[in-house]
Amino acid sequence: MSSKLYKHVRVKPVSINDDYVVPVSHSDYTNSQSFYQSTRVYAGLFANFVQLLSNKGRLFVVPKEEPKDLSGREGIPVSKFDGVSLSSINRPYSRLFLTSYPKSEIEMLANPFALVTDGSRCLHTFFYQMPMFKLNKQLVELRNRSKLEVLIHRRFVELPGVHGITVFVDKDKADALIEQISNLPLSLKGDGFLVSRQWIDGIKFLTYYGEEVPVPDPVKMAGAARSKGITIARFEQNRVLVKVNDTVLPVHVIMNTQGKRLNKAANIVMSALRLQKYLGMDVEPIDATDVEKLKSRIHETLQRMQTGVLIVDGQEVGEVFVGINKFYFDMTHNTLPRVSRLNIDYVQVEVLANALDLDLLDMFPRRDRTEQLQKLFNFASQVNYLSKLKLVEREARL
Amino acid sequence: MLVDISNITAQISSEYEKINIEDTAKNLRGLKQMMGPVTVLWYDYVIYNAKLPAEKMRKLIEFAEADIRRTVKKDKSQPSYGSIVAFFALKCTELKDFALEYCKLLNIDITGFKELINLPTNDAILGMLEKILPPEIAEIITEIKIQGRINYFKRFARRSRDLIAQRLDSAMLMFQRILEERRRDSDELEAV
Repeated sequence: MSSKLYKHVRVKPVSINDDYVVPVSHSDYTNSQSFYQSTRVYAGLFANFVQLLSNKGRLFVVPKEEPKDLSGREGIPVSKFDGVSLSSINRPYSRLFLTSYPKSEIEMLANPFALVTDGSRCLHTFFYQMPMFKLNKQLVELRNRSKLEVLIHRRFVELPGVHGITVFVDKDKADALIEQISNLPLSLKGDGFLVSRQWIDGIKFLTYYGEEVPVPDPVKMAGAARSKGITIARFEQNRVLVKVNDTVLPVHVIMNTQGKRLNKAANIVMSALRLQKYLGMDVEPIDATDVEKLKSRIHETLQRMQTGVLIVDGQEVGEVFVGINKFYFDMTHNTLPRVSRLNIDYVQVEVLANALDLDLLDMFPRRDRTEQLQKLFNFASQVNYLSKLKLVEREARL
Repeated sequence: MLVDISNITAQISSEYEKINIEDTAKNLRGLKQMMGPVTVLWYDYVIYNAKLPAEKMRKLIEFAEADIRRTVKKDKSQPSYGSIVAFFALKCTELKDFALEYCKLLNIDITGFKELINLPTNDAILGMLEKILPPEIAEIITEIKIQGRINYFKRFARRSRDLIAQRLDSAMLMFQRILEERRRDSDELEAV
């Protein structure tokens, strides 16, 4: 499925050599195949945008393999790049974005409060993994009425995502509420999301062949600033409502208040601003480049911020933070249950196995030996055998 | 009450004071740079070659695990001994800033270490470990003898599964080509 939802784009490669970013080509690597593999970026909704950013000389990839000698090459100081916000958090500085700000302009478009959000809480791989999507009429209207405007030199509309009316609940106070809604003993402590069936059914992912793909259950999704998790339960929209002043709104998503993470402004304050806009209040564009203005904007919003009263099955259950959050989805994960393989390649395991006189290869199947790979290994041994055979034949003929 | 509104509001209005994006980026980059060399140093060099009684081995492995754990934390304020040795002995120049900062934090005199960059012998590396590590671990290190040339780049030499599959793909193409050639050769032989 994922091969249809995403496509490959070529991004210019660079390498970091002594704190300087230098352009590289296949001749700088011993394995050119591995080099070409690294320059291919797999992306969904923003695939063409990624290509454009690469063509414009703003976005670069750093191949995994170490290049040969790069000494003496001229480059740009690595401090001029944002190596975190568009890279995987597990592989920082694998994607570099040329920018004059501490975070990339893409991150600031996704989260206008990016400069007052934790440095390690960004869009990261969701920028590539968000597939193309289609929304039903209600969600399109919700997005159009709540999308924020951002000032980065000039006025932009925030980076598109799926908007949903979100209720924020403290994770240690939510257990009874979650059980009441889902009829299951679930918790928000694992950063899961409860979503309304009607909201999730209103979202369809689109393949590059134009086919519609429903959102699977569970699905990995993230709010602003890496507030990510999987959907843990679905509820009927008419059962869970929230009252803000005199307006009663349906609840699309229930998520936690993010605990100690330094991303609450990106989630709660921005959601509140979107809700204010949706309710017809005047919301000025957010100057994403000025830290002082962002700080004062946070205080200003907190003063005007509205809380709501959550209503479940017609009963008022308590006061909550309410807003319209923006979500990104990731369809690259295989969410089917599987048994994790034991990793016996670690040196620790080797050392302990030797001390205990255990033959691990006899005890456990070898790592990475999938059926497909086994076939390829067999092919390789046949190639090896045939090469030898050919050599013998040649020698015999001579 | 489902949410502690006053507590969250107070957190939001002050959380930006704790944020330093440049430092986080520096730490994350350091994490990437330090993770490989420090793991290589401890597991592929020290522990892999240590022949010690079980109790001392356990103590050494526990210390190595803790040092690697400090290294892979996003918060780089806790000194990692492995990164100091990796900088001087494994010539990981990109660790310079962290290594020198940790030397200062641990009050380590780096005189004599710079020569290691030019000639990192087994004795010199072990000597350096003895000098900088806490006494109880340094004592264990003195019992380790490493002889011969050590391939401590073993871990770096690992290839990903994708790459193996990719190479085997090209092997399949080669296999087809060899089959074709072989068929042609057989035809020629038959004709002769």
